[in-house]
Amino acid sequence: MDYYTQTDERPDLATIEVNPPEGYIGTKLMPVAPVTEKAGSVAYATVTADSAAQEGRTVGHAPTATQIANSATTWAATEIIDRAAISPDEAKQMGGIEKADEIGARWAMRQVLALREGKIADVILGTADNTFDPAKLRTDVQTARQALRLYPGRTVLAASSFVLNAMVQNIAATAKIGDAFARIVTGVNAAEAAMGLSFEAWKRGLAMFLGVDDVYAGDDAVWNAGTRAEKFSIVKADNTNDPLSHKYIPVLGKTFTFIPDGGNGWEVQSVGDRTLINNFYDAKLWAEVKTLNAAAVYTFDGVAA
Amino acid sequence: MMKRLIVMALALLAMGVAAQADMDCRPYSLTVIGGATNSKTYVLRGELEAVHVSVPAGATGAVNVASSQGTLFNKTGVDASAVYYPRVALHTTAGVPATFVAGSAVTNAWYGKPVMAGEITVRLIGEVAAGTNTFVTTLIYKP
Repeated sequence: MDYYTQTDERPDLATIEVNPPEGYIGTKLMPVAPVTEKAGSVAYATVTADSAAQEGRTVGHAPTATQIANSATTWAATEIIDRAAISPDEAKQMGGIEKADEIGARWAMRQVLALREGKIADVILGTADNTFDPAKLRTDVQTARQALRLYPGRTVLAASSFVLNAMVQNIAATAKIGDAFARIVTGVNAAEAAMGLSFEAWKRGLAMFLGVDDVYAGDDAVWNAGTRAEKFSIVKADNTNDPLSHKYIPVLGKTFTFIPDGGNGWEVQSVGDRTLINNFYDAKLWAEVKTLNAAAVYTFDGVAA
Repeated sequence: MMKRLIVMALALLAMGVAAQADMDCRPYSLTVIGGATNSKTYVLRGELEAVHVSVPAGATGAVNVASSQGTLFNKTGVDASAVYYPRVALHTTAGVPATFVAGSAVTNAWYGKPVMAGEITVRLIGEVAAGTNTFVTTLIYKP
């Protein structure tokens, strides 16, 4: 039996489920917009500020018009690539070359997704607008919701799983509001609630307590790394499932992904190299995470463990 | 006598446990490269009891702790780990410095613990020419 893989493009591997961990939430917030060129320009919707309507118009005089127009920007997809290697000896232990192909391709694709996820997390958890204060969180989040009110979509609390747990811990430890928070979830006080509740229950509790539609928990390795640590955001998530929604909805941004052939954007190849006595698996995406309406996100910093 | 000592020991232990339970701390871990500046902000409420600065070997820095109302602690040339107990001058209800006269007729200011009720920022300025250093400034406070 041969434990070298075929040297070729592997569209069959490009369609395997990468099995992203719970934390890969990026494209729920900045969805993929497929494009057929690696660079180009795009017109996108922005928020037109409210202005007071007129009363008592003089007959014959035109009402004042507020011009509404799209903005335009450019995007340029860059290559995101990673390579896995599995020696023939290892492939023997993995149950055959077909299994090794899946393992190698899945690993390489996962690294590419992690990098793309980090680029999205940088947008979501960028410059802080406020500092986390558990005692005033409800009103502070209301301030955030008010700041985002002109952006359509679902209101989402997005953070790393670690930060969400730290938020729960800080809120539960805060006098009075902690018990109120715990009772929303369980009907009992904070000390009892903390002992038996799952993370999913606390996430639902946070959504109820803060009045947001969803809570997205990101992978700690991405969403709690470096300057993204100790932060969470209230963000408007585009829920239209329309790749062209940015044309008519002021969305936070899109992940422009080069998909010229109507596939899923992945380029996966395998190389069975008898000179280096190795099997290589390359996974590649061409993408740019493009912010279109930076004000569609409101970020809090200072969530200490 | 023995019984009385045991009761006293238990009472002291209980006081110690109570005092410990009342305390909290918040570490601010800040990394600077060379003479760069870095800062971090958390919301804290309570009386500031002490500031502990953990300094990496060979590093020197300036540590500033401030609320939006003013400075709580500020020290340059911090080159060794140490604990500080910053106190601020108090005022009377008339808004003038509160003083007392000691035995030798010297007028002294009254000092008390700084209060914190909002965003507390620790700012670190590196005071070495090169290198990456992480200082951990821990605010010990009574909520």
